Amino acid sequence: MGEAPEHPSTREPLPWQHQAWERLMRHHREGRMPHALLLSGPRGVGKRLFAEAFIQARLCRHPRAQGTACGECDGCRQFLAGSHADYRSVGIEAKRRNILIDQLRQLTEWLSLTASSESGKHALIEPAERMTTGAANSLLKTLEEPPGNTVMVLISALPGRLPATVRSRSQVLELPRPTRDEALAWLLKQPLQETQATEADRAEALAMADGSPLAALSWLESGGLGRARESSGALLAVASGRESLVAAAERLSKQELTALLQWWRIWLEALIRRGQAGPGFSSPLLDDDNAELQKLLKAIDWKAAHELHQALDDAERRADSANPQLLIESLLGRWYAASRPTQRAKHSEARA
Amino acid sequence: MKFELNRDQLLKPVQAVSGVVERRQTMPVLANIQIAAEGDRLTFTGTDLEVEMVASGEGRVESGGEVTVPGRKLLDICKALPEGAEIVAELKGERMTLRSGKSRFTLSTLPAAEFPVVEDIQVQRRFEIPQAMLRELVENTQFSMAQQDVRYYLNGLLLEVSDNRLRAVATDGHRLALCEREVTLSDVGTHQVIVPRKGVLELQKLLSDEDTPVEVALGANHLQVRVEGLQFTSKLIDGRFPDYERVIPRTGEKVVEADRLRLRESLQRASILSNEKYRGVRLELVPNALKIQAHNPEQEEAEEEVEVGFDGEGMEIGFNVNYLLDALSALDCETVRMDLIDSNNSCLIRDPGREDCKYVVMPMRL
Repeated sequence: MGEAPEHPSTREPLPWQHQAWERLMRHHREGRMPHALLLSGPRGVGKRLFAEAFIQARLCRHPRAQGTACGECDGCRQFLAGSHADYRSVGIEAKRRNILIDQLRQLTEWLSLTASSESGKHALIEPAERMTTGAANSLLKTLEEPPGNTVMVLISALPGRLPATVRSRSQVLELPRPTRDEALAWLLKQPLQETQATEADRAEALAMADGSPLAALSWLESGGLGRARESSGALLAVASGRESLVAAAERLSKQELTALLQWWRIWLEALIRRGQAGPGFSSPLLDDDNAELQKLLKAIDWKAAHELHQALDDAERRADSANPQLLIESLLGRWYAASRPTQRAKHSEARA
Repeated sequence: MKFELNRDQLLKPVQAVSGVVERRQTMPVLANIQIAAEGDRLTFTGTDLEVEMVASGEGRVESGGEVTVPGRKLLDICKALPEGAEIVAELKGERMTLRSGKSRFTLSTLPAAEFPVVEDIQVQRRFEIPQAMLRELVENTQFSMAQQDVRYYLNGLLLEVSDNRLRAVATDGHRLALCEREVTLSDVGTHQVIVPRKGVLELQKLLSDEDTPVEVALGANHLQVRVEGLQFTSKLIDGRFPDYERVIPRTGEKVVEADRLRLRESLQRASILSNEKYRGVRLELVPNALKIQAHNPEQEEAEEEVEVGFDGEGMEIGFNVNYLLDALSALDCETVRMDLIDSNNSCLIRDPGREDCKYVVMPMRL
């Protein structure tokens, strides 16, 4: 398990999901499969991959010894092509913000029909916490007692936001975040030929993704590392007064807003920890040889930095309804004030 | 894979199977139809994951194999070629070429392994009946199926076989239609399946009024019907049909006999001024006459009177006029019999001379 799969796209559980996989396989072997599973765990730890590996394994006609899918049989091929008659997945549709009641009505209608193979019907809902109240309510009856042989898998990084009625009807399976070493070992094994990411790059991406290996992988694949370095450059430039706030805001607003805010929050966290723990704490996100950074660490107003951290957290949640340029300018304003408290003091003295 | 055939040998099966292929399909392979060539037989398959249609055809197969090609495009090409044209189809790498005279088409393909076909349906009951009979059963009942009801087992048509009878039942909770035929089906035992709405509508399209036999197979999860070189397979509804026999009234206390077409016409006229949403009509039964009244929120009113055979104490009852009209249209007898009890009990509508089609309509409070 966990080694490079023979068929590139066959879904396999990740090394740190071993325990959860075994638990599920035991249910599967003993025929005691719960009909509603809720997979929870932080973002980017491989919940979707785990769910797909599990469903593919159930649809596979010749599963391997550990219960994983073979990737060769018609069941596997159809699952991977998205044409398997016994699998449906529901997510947020393009240009929507939630999973809507109509999508779930279609799903329950489909579930009311018989399965076409003996392995039964499989439905996947992700991100489950984004179901509207109506959608979640329309699911309750099916979740409690789905017609025939059915397994429903709900995925949520924020299970607390699910209605209690949904949570209580599903069996929760917690998927853990791997340790830093496990995550890095896995990340080092990923091919990534095109980006030529070095070991240090991968460690940096992992830190940036808050320790979530799949999120780190997508940072690396999408060239997020370069963008992140540009962003940290911009922040340091504003702090040292090299670049005007407006120019930096314009530069940063070209990036995808949610990803930028998330990176910023995590970078600021690293900075605050470094400030409090001293040189004993090192993070791949912070380059200790950078003179501007050293200067910043001495000058920064930690209280204001904490407030900015809170503001970033709020902004992340409201990101889809915000005007990027305005939001970034206002956050950069707070960053400027936090990073140059003496300047600000001088300004107010001058005004007095 | 390579085969030769003429345009009509290709058009007929392709047309038959592309009917079930959904036009707007998110998964490219499901917009395709599968072609399999083996021996001197060609098999064409189309699916929307709920119903599947397989058509077999003839051709000169030079080398066998199976592949899937875009269904709509193949159909359009077949249609556009002149009648009787000879076609050579050949799979080269990942493309399929069709040559006919000076025309040449190259179609993209997807592997047959990604195409979901129904394999073994694990037949539990198998029998043969004339196709006209199956068609009648479906036509006489399907209008009573529920639509998108949360009681999902009502969103389909019940087919029930026993040793000497085949029965179709549909209900939406407000009305029920039952139609049965005496047939000798040796050793089938009693068995029920619920065919979903989509499967019922496709099946209806497939069957003709002829007396040629159809082969029906009931599997654990599928209904399969074979007729004239076509094999139709539908998923079933994964549930149990309610005990419908309880809701069919035996004989009523008040038996009304009326001319079916006259009664239907009167109801149709009255329905014009019934409430557009609830469709209620009031029936007042007096000796030898049935008075029909309808009115709508605009205070417009319709009144009709039909001569009927009835003697006894009069009564009043309300119905959804559409349910009565559906039942009266499905019957084809001259005189229709209605059995009533009182204004709170269902009405049974049927041919007075036969017991094989029964329609039950629940009253509504007006």
